[in-house]
Amino acid sequence: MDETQYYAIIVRGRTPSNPSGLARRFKSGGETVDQSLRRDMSWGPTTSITEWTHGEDLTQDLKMISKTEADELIERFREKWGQEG
Amino acid sequence: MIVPGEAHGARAVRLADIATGLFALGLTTRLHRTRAGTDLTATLYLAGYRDIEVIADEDGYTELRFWTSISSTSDAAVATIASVLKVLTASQSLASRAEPTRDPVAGYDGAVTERAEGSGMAGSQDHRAEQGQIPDQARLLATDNPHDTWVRPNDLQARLERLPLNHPSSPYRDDGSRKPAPPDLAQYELPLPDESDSPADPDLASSDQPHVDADGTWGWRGFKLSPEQSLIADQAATRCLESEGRDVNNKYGDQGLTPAMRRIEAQLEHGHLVEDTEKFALKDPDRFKEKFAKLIVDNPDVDSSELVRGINDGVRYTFIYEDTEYSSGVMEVSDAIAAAGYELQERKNAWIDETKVYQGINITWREDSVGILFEVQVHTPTSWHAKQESHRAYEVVQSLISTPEQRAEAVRRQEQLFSEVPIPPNVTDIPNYRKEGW
Repeated sequence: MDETQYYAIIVRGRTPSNPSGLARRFKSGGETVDQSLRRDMSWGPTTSITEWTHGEDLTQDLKMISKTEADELIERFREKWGQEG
Repeated sequence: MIVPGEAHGARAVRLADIATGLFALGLTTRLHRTRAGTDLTATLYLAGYRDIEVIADEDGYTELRFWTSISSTSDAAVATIASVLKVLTASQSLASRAEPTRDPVAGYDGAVTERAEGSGMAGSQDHRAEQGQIPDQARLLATDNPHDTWVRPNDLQARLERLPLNHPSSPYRDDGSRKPAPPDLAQYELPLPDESDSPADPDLASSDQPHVDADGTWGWRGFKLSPEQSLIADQAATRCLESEGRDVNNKYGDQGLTPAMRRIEAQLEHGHLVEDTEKFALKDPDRFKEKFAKLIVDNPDVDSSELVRGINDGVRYTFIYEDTEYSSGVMEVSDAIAAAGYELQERKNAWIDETKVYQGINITWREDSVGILFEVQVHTPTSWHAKQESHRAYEVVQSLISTPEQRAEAVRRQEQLFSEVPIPPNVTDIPNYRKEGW
């Protein structure tokens, strides 16, 4: 898998330090693959990255983050959602 | 319950409220007004199944119509009907026999199309059908296309024919002579809110059409909402409808956002609302649900009820300014909207955002009477044209069922269109804004 770029998703009411979701973009087989993290900790397809760059819908912001930051965010979500059920 | 002495207008309003409530449940509703009164028809379209229909009038008469499968057993059919009757008899809205209606309706207990033969079950009977005068036309009709006209004229006419002579909705006068036909209100109706490629666009493949599964799950272009989430979206869309200002006949008075925007437009020195503003002011309900579904997928750390409150373009407007007046015009229209009592929540200037291909300024406002957000976009003629021209490409970009090749081509198309848009002077002077705490 080629290098992966991660994005924190920040919807209204959230901040970059408290994002509401996580997306990633990578190349696979020559094609760009965009995914977002689901509540069951799986990754699924998303249009959020392309809409953020090319769409008129500015409801949510995306912020590029490092893999380290993404891993931390994943762990934070895992712990939080695991407690919430 | 029919309140004795309640005015005719108030009953029509009550019926309109019922229509709003049924709409929020996912039914397609239509109010039909005549000189005799108002009728409501509400239809639940189920993919792969025959429609379920509710017909109600101002006097409280309510008809529930559905088809049971002839391949199911008779016990199953009875069980279905029994469950409906159980709900009705336990309901607090069932009218008692002692309750007066607006006018005496002698011998009228509602229309029943069949007697229960041999079961010993006594039910209310339609006296004209009992007299064998008029066959029940409704049962003879079948709708092959679930998206045929909302009111089947023959069904409604047959029901009207069965009413007693002194019923206000009867097509006959008290002396038995026929009343003149009511005016056809359809010729006075405004077109329904529509996108440039409405989900109901016949050019779209059936797989691209929004649909509701048998269990109430909503789906479109790879996105889904559970029945509960779909209801949340319907309720939010109803709030948008309430605040936008159109009535059940798609006509406007003085109240609501669209009339307010028109008053603001009249104040502007240079700017104007885009053509067909009323047509596009309300976001299509299925597009609202699609956006909601995307937010749920991408923001798993936020409750869905909170996400739906953050949808800012259920009601939206676009003002156009020529390039030379654009930057001052953004502030002019913003000041006018604020002066009208709306609260600025956020302003995003995509012209100065290098991460954006889209060009324009999107401003989110709060309307406090119903409590919704609405969006105002400000464009130059060229940026508006680019947005309109790139709409199809945008649809491909934001659809999960687009192939990577399709999405890549759509992205290129968008980039090409917006790259040709001149940047208006002084647009960099317009800062982004976000209300503190929002």
